[in-house]
Amino acid sequence: MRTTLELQRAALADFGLFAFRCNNIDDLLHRATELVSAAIDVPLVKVLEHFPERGEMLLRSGVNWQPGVVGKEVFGDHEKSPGGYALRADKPVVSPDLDAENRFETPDVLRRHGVRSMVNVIIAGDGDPFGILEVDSQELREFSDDDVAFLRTYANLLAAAIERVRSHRELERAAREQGVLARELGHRVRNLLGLVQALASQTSVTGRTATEFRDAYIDRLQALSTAEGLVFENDDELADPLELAHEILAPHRQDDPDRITIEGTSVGLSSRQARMFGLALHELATNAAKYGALSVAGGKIHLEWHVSGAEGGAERLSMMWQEADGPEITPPQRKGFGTRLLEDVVAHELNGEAALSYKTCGLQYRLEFPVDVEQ
Amino acid sequence: MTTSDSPHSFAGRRILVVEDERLIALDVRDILEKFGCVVLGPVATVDAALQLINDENPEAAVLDVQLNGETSEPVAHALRLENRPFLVLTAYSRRHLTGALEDAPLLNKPVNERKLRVSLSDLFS
Repeated sequence: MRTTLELQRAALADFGLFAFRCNNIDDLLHRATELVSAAIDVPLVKVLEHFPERGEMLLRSGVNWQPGVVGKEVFGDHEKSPGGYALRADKPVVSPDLDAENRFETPDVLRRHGVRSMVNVIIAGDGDPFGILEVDSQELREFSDDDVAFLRTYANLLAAAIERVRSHRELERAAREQGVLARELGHRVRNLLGLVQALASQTSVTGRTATEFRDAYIDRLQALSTAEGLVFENDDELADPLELAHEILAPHRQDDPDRITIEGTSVGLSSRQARMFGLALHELATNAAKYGALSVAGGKIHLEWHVSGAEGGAERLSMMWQEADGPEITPPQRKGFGTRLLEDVVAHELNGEAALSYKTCGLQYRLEFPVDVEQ
Repeated sequence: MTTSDSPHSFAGRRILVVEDERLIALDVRDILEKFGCVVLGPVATVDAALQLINDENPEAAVLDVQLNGETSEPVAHALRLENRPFLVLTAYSRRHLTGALEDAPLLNKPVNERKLRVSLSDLFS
């Protein structure tokens, strides 16, 4: 006949192999309680999982308990409960006679099962302990040092196995997420390429040399790239219009920042909104440098926007670009890409309203669109 | 394949364009108009597309799949009921096409003028 020690060693070896192959925490815990029960010759064994945020310990797994106990029974994690006491004790707690126990109270479920002696050992975790491995004997029993040592070894093995399953799960989840992100990025790149192509075919070739076409196109691409860059730099994938305006308009402000004054609040723009906001500012500035306030000395531009909440509706961003002290302007005879972008594309894309006015005092552009601050 | 290289092979055809990226929508419109088509839209939402199918009776359609949070599947369904051919222009691959969009001729973005001409020609053959 095998000695208790041999039985316990065999249980450890069996469980070690099982734990190595198992990828499910419930299977793992169930097998652990089965093997412990056999090896230590006590029918009732259970695992309590600790939920510190709820102040509770759930009887997550166990063998030989009455129906409706495993997976259902919940204990407090205070020091008057056996599990709570063991968590605080930070070492195995042996209670050879529960009737004489005064460190904690015996829960009803143990009384119902006629439990008279118990041992509790901590199952460690990455940080906080996972919970408690508990052996509940229905006969009075003095647990030996060997029994306790066996249970400690077992609980440590279990802790390592639980961590392994958890990190395995975490890795699987991360890999899935990575796959989703890669596909998302693929779509985003394709969409962006579509936009890049549309910019090329919409940039007029009429009356332009190849070099002029190239320069106009590259400038637009750069405005797009600035907006995309700001969105991607932020962890929340939102871009700040204030930052965007400063970057897009920087080439026109480097000699004299006062030529374009910028006054606006920070808010989060989605990538789609940021692209359009950036492209619009780029078109306005390019146009001003060619025909408007930036084409003559002393011409000035004021850019401002504010965000206001409509009653019960989404917040709206209202922006105005106002040129002053520039040359006399007249509406263009043929609507080029810039006009089309400012009047049509931006309004459609932002689900808002846009208007260009050729006022005698200077060109004015008004833009208003909803911004979902919560996004 | 019954492809005609004549730029006028679709002259006068009424084509619905459903695309939520406005720049791309305008690009597709310009290309179709160059082919001589009459463009209905472009529209960016399912509701606007269904309205146009009802009011303007398009002969064919070019559909983007993802429309700002909705898909053009109901539009494809309505076109099938009316027996109107359509092609799908999308950044997604075929396995993302479900329901009435499944099996539709597919063009990948960015839009290619020559391929669009070939696909349209097939739609009307």
